[in-house]
Amino acid sequence: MLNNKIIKKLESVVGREYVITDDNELIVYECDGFTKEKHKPEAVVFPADTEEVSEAVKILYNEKIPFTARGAGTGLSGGCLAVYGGVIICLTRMNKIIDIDFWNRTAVVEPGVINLLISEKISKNGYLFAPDPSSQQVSTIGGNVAANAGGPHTLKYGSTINHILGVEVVLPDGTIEQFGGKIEDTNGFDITGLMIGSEGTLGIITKIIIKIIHLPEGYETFLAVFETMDDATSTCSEIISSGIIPTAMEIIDDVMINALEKAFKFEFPKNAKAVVVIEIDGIKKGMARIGEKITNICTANNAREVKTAKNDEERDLLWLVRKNAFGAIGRIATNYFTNDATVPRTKLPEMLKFINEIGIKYSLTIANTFHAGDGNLHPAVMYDETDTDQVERAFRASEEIMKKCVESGGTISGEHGIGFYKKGFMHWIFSEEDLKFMKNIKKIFDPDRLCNPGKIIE
Amino acid sequence: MKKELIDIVGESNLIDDERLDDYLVDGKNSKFRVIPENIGQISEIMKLAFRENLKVVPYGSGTKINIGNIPSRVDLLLSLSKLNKILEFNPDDLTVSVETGIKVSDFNRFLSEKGLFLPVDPPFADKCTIGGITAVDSNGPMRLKFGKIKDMVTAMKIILSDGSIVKTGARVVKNASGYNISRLYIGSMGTIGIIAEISLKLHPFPESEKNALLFFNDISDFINFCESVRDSFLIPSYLEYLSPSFVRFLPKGIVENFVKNYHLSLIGFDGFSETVDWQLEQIKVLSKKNNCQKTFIPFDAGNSLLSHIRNFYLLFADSLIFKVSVVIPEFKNVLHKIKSLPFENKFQEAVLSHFGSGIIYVIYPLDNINDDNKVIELINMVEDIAIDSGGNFMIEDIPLKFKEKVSVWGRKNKNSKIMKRIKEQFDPNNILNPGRFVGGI
Repeated sequence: MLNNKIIKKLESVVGREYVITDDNELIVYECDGFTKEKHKPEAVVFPADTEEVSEAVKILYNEKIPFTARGAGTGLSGGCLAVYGGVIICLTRMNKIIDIDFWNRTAVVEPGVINLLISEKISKNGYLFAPDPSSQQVSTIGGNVAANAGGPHTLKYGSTINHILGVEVVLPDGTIEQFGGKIEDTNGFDITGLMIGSEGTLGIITKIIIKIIHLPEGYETFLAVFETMDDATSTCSEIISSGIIPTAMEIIDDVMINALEKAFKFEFPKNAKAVVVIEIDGIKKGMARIGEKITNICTANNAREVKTAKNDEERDLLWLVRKNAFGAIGRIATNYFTNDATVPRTKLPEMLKFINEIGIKYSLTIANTFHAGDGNLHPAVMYDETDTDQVERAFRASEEIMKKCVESGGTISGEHGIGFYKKGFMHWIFSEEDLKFMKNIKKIFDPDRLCNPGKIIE
Repeated sequence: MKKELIDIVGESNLIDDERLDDYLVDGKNSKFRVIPENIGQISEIMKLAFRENLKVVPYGSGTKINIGNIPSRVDLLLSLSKLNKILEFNPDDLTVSVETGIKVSDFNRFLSEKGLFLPVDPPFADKCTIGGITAVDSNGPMRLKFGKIKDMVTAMKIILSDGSIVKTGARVVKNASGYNISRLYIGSMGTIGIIAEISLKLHPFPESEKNALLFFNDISDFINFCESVRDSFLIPSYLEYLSPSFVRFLPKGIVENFVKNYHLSLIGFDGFSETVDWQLEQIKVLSKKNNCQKTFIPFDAGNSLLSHIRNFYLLFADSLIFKVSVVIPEFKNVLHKIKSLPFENKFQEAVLSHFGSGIIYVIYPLDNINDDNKVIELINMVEDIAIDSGGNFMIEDIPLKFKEKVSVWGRKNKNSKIMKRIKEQFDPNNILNPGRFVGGI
């Protein structure tokens, strides 16, 4: 139990104004983007730097009080829920970009830096941080690393894990360790790789060395309109198998188009069943031919029309609309719930049919906007939270979709992480032995199970 | 013991003592050598080894078996050469799952029928296995554009020291379900488990591949050239640096014009043909701007030179080969310091660098060197140069008589406490490749 004595100690580390214990203020921290489950922490502390994190963790470690790191709280799987109460260590004050090194194409950042700010800061020098989760306007890089977040452009550039060279971590006993570094090859086990996607259960990341990449010379962004979802998914599958790896390939279905129209008046083509946003980037020379190939594949799969973004403004608007798709659902439903199960890309046509059937089976509306190029689905099941039966059906529907993804050779999370919500489904994809293997990883770093307990595998 | 092993793998899968010399590990004999045919057999072997405290060395084709420290003991050499099947191939999805004993060359030949390839170009690609390059994290010049094997692995099946069989990851291209334990096993030198199956992301084979060879008077001109490449939109697949002394070791007929002490750079591009050609045109412009003395654009013998670069170890028998990784601005500084080492021409270094990736191979041919202490002194000095510049140091190749006296991973190790805990958790009896890895692991 957190008593006054411990709170005083924490206050002496981070400063009195950076500790929250007031019940009303704590409500903000009782959940993240996964709002179904709520657990109120006993306190929230806001450390200013690595040393303060380390000192705070040492206090909690000695008192055997659980603690959970938190960034902007945009996670969608309950990864930063204070399941056993205890203290939330909120890293939003640690928001400095410490160093940018264009020669090495690296930057050193604190975990509380907002994803988009990194790219905004370096774009004038012609550089970019590639991982771009839809939450990037608010989510922190620390949270992205914890979840191994993705985004539309991971198709070409890879997930967060492909862009991290090193991390500084406060281990659950409070010691500070540096893993990896600015150079990619370091002797020893790749603990950096293990830390990414570990959802804050192995330690608290306090510094991150990221890779930055050169902005491409040019972009081409296409919007292909289809009469059926089947044609849209087949198009994506065929583009990949033709040897083209676009930078991004996203599908938006009719339900979502409708919501987006209400929110943005983007003037999507009327009565379309699905649109596919396809982007290629790179050296301008040769891009015309790739564009032509893509257009031909779309047309061969019965695309009604294929439009091209004429300039940067049109491209930016299209991505703004896509990345705010989930926000737009509010225009057509009171609540929604999404998961991020992933299938081999070739299974997309049958998965989308299945999602449609599930919608009918449970009498629920399901909107789809997803990373088709990666086979990463995002079925948004809509419901009204005042109707308990609907809530129940929505979660059952979502679960059934995930199960079907697993049966199709896929997995239960492509980019949101397991967190609290999906830990019960881990046995769908892993055997008892596999799970024990993961528990042993946890045991190496956190034998007392104080660091974000109750997640992923426990 | 022999009988128990025969019960597991069958008599024909035991390699007899007559062939002992083909399977030496850093000069060490093994008591038994087995070739299991499937994962179940590996598991049974490991259960036996766990019970009987047999020290096990996993073995692919042996091209990288000399990397790492000398193992403290070798009881059982476990060859994966019969685990060489393609398990699941989804060409339309650009994914594949294989057993790890498959040779990289056989694998790429298979993939090429569908216009695909695995973009890793390790040394000895004609012989080495997928499991071997994963266990030692081997790679080559192409890592600049395509990354390392860690960027391609999506899932693994691993046999732990007690024989249990576990899986990590998923056979999809994007995954955030559970710990990324695969990453812990890449480059782990077979010390915490045996990787038996791997799932990988593949790449479409490029329509065109070309490269250019450039001759510079000195390192500064080369670096200025690289800076202008960095500031351009070019996307080289590799950017190699060859010191004048390195060039002298190349077979005759590959690079004709090295009468003068030129510093060479081989830069390659791949992709759509017009994109590749445009990039070569840009290289013409950039090389002129940066005082380049001579160019071959494109370079007709480019593939042959690239192959010698990838397999450069063959050019240097009986040599000391250091792999130093540094941040790029330290490159010139490190080379300068190495050149200035006080050995009065006793040691003549040759340098090869995967420049864009910050990898420098410093090579000292050791023929006619009799002074052992001087060699150890040299090793320590090169390590200090690497570490002082914030870099990483390891010895990739070293004659056995010196290897006994040093740690190939250097004298100082980071994260040793947590690494030890990892080892103890997954190999509590210390039976997997004991003594080979960092910090005595």
